[in-house]
Amino acid sequence: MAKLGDAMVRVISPRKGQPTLVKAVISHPMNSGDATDPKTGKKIPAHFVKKVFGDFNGKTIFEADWSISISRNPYLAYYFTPTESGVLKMTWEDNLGGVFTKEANVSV
Amino acid sequence: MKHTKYTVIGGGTLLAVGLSLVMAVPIVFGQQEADEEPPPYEQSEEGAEKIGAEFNPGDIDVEHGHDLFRAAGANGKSCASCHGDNGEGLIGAAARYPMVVSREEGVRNLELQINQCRTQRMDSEPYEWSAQQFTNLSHMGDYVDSRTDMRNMLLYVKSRSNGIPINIKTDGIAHEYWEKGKRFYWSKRGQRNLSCANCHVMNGGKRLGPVRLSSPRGQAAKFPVYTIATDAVETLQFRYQTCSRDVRAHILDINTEPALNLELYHNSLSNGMPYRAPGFSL
Repeated sequence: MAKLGDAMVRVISPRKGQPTLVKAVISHPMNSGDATDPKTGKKIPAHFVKKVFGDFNGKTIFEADWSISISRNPYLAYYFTPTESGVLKMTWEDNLGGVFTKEANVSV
Repeated sequence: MKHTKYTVIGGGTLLAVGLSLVMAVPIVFGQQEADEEPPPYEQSEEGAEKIGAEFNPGDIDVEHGHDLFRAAGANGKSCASCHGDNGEGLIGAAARYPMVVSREEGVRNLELQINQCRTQRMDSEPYEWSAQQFTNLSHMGDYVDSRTDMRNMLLYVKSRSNGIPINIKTDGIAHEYWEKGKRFYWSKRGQRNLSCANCHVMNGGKRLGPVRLSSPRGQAAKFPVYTIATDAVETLQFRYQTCSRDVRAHILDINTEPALNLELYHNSLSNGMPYRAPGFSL
């Protein structure tokens, strides 16, 4: 399986002025802090993504607050309307301070 | 007659209800769906390949396989030393596996070949088999172990042959193993008394629960396959174990004789189909 923080971002058939689908997935355990480790008997500490940003050419086009209800290796899809070519950058920030980013080129 | 008006209305209503019932029957039983023909690959991929072509989380593991490919073994050599930094020497290689080189060895599939290269040419430890796909709860953050390495390496080597038709030799020395695999494929097994052919040949394309059974032609081309149900990349040998569980039969040990013969026969059914690792499956 993939390492923590491995991400993939795809922009599906971008067209100028048309709502374009973006799909993104990140490898992350998204531990809620409630589960118990069967080996040690202790609770697995909470480790989940708290905020997700999508920036297009520096401008934030997507923002989300996540919490413990999102499950492991979360997949995300949303639409945005590109008016020019550029770079779409997704950022995931988790509660332990980890920051993961991935970029995708958008050419219209 | 006094009740003419009501009789006509009543008769008309009855006629309308009757007509709509008659018309409803084909709608309820699906003959009026008017769907266009499903695409030719849908039957062999449960309709999920369209999604996988666009976006496949298994692609992340291909890059990990690439890193492993370039990592040096104990004697300083890496896979890339012989086969090229981007696996150029291996383009088309995966399309010939499983193969039979000698009678002493029997069937050799790609996992066995990778381990052979590691032990004989890189003086390194062989990778363990992918017997367990699911990450341990207590090691959620540490996804990587030797089994993961084997899966990622297998995925990388197979992806070098993407687009190249499968071309497995089934004649000559391989023929007797192919015959054994064929016998296995068509033999009923387990408490449920089902053979591979019962489900996939005789009922390929039909649904088993929510999932469409894939036809055997094309199955080999999609392995290792990213499976949504387990959120993991599964190898063909592991999938044989799952199928054995499904018919409640003795679970085949990974990369041992019956499973290897089966892989030889089963993959040869897809001869001519181009590889598309990683596949996408429900």
